[in-house]
Amino acid sequence: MKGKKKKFNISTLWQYYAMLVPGVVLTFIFSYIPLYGVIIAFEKYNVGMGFNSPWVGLENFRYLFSQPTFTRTIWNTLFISVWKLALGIIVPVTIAVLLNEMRSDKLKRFYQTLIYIPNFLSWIIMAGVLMDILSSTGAINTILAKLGMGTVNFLGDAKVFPWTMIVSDVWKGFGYGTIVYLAALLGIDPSLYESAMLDGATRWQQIKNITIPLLMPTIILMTVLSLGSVLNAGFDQVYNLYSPAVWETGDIIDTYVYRLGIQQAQYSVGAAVGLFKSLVSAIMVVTSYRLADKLAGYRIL
Amino acid sequence: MQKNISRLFKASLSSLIALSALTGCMSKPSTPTAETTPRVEPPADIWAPYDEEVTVTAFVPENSGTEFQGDDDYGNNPWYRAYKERFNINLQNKWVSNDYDTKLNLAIADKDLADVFYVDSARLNTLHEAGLIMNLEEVFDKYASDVLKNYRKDYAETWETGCFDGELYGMPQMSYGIIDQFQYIWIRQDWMKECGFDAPKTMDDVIKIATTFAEKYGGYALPECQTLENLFRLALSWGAHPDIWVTKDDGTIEYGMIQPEMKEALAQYAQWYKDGIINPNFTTLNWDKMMQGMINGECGVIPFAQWFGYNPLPDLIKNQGPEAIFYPYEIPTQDGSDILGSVKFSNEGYVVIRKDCVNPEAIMKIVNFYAYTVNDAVGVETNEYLSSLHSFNYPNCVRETRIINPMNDYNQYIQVKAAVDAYQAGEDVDTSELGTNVAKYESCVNWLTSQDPNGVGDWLQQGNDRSAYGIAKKYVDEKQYVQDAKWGPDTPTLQSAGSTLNDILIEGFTKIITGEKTIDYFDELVEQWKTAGGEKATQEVNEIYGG
Repeated sequence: MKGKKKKFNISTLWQYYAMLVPGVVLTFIFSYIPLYGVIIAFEKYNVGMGFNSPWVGLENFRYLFSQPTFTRTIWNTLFISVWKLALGIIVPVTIAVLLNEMRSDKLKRFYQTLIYIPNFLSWIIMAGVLMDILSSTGAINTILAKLGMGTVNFLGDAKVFPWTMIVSDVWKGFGYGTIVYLAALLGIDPSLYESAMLDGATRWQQIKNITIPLLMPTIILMTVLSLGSVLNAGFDQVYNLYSPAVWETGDIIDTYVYRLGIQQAQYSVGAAVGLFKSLVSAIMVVTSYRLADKLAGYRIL
Repeated sequence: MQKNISRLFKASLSSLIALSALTGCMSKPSTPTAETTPRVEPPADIWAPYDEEVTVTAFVPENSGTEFQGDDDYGNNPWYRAYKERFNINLQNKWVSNDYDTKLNLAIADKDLADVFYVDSARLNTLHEAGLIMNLEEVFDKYASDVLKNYRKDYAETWETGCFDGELYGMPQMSYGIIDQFQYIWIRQDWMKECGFDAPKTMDDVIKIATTFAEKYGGYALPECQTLENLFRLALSWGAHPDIWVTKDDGTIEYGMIQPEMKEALAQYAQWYKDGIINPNFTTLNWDKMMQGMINGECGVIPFAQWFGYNPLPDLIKNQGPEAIFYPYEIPTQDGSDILGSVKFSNEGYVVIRKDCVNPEAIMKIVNFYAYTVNDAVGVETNEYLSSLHSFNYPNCVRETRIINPMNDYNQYIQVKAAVDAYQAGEDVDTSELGTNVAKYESCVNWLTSQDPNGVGDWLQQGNDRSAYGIAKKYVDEKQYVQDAKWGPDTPTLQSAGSTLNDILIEGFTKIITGEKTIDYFDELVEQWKTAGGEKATQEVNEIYGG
């Protein structure tokens, strides 16, 4: 995997490059040319005037960052999404390894399907269900009270709310990650385990010395991919579950900007936020990729 | 593998691309569409037909799947036929869509506008700034009917909001009237009778009724949800007007939500929360969840607007039986004086004409016609004819060209109430005199005869002796209200802040009510609000609307 540079040889490889052309052209037309539109972020955009709207420079950014309640949304976003990211790797990997160790294929498939199902429900539906389950008289609090642990205000307590978001999101999404990692596990050469067993390795040693190291490239790939969306803490989820009582810790960039008036056709501020988020994401992706290469020696390319 | 990199790139820029894809198709060169419609000289009499047919176009902001009678649709209905028969005008819809704002934005960007359409105040500014709409002064002066000219005179403040430098660019569509803006305390009647309560005279009476209900029938005394809307309704009792901008004694304008009266209301509210009077988990409830509780009969007292009878009362009655009807009561004040409601600027939109429109007179005729049908036509045209225009879904056909009479609901109440009284006295009611209001009357009768839950809304809004409009009529007649000092659209700072300025206050108020902060936090909160843009907004409101 490590960077051996192949010599570029057009005479043998030209067919492959020819096949690449349509994709590159389409990407260029639909993803690069419209990038011109970012100038909206620097204008006082008027639909009727189009790109010739008055130029205001960094005014939209200045306005956004001068809002006293905006800065906290950046920290809230980072807190929620970094934890989601971390748990979104640890939980599926653990579950995948555990499932992989199961003897019964039927049971394995059953669990796999079961944990995958919540992934298909939209947050609108999930939010309605969660509000009932997590309310002060809901199922979870009833159980907690019976166990003598008192009740927890999952959705109304500003200290608990971000964790409610993190845990419920991981619970909803880990089935998908598990399937990805299970697929990667299938790709591991069984002869490695056989020879390890001959050498007397225990199950735990097999996991530690064979499974995890061979899963590493997939884990790093998934991490780098998801780092790009580190400033998306999940608008659908938070918007449907939050309330003024938890804005202190639960208000994220997207929900704040929504209330700021995206629905009132404030294109300029919307574009400014989009640009800001893209910039942060680009930096995150590039640095994490470099770090993965430098520290662990893993490269996607 | 190469694909992964490009996917990576796309993922990181996705939000940007979604936005630029939208605008990418807007970067066409901005040449106006070629004129095809010929100019036709209008007749001198504004009610006379054109000599030859004139075609004008419109955007219709409605669901194109709406069903009409027979083969009618948005392009062929009694209104459009009337334009043709009476004025020889052929009104064509360029498109019909209820995704109106998006379609309109694209049309603006494409410079592919209809001759007539309606806009909100933000887009009125946009279009005027971009020079895409017509100055209506001349055509209004020559071709507007007397009814329209009287509207402009009688509701001058509202019409000024459609003007730039005193020149009319958008004709305000106005609203059905301020009578629908007042607040009440709704109380469940079967419980009230059982407990032997009279109409509440003070706020203590209200709380006594509410707590007695909670003790006797379970649930909680006062419902609330995360938007604190019930607090804001009750705040009127302390003389606070949280929804509007208030002119103070020294002539300056201040936001109602930050005034000392609001602080008093809030202090009492926090006390009530502490005493367990307010729904303990209100901070996480949204409006729907709060109403679910109401429908399940958890609560017998709620501060609410005039439309409680439409939603949720029908569901509540289906669930709890017709005896569970709620009646509206005046909100008692702290010092026993008359309550003053808050009246806000309300306007459905602005009728605008495209700058290059060659036959703007034809559009004035169409606009005149709607105003005629709701004013002078009563008694002139047959009742069947008027009701063919104003019943079923047909009023939707004029959504973009109608200018509403702000006395509409007020007059309707007087008519419907008189007819219901006559019916109850056993007299014959000539429904043909009710014109367009016959539907309201009939649903009141349905409630009386068969307790049809779908009729209870009209009954409590207008038909009953104790009805919301019955109470509000007195407020309107005796000018028992405070009018919003910001009589017009939001100022630039308010527009760019969206709801975030209010959010600061709502978040803080929630903390005060739940006891996380003491009432003194109110002053700190007001300072926060001011630094976040409230100060600037106040300045703007004073500059634009003050003096």
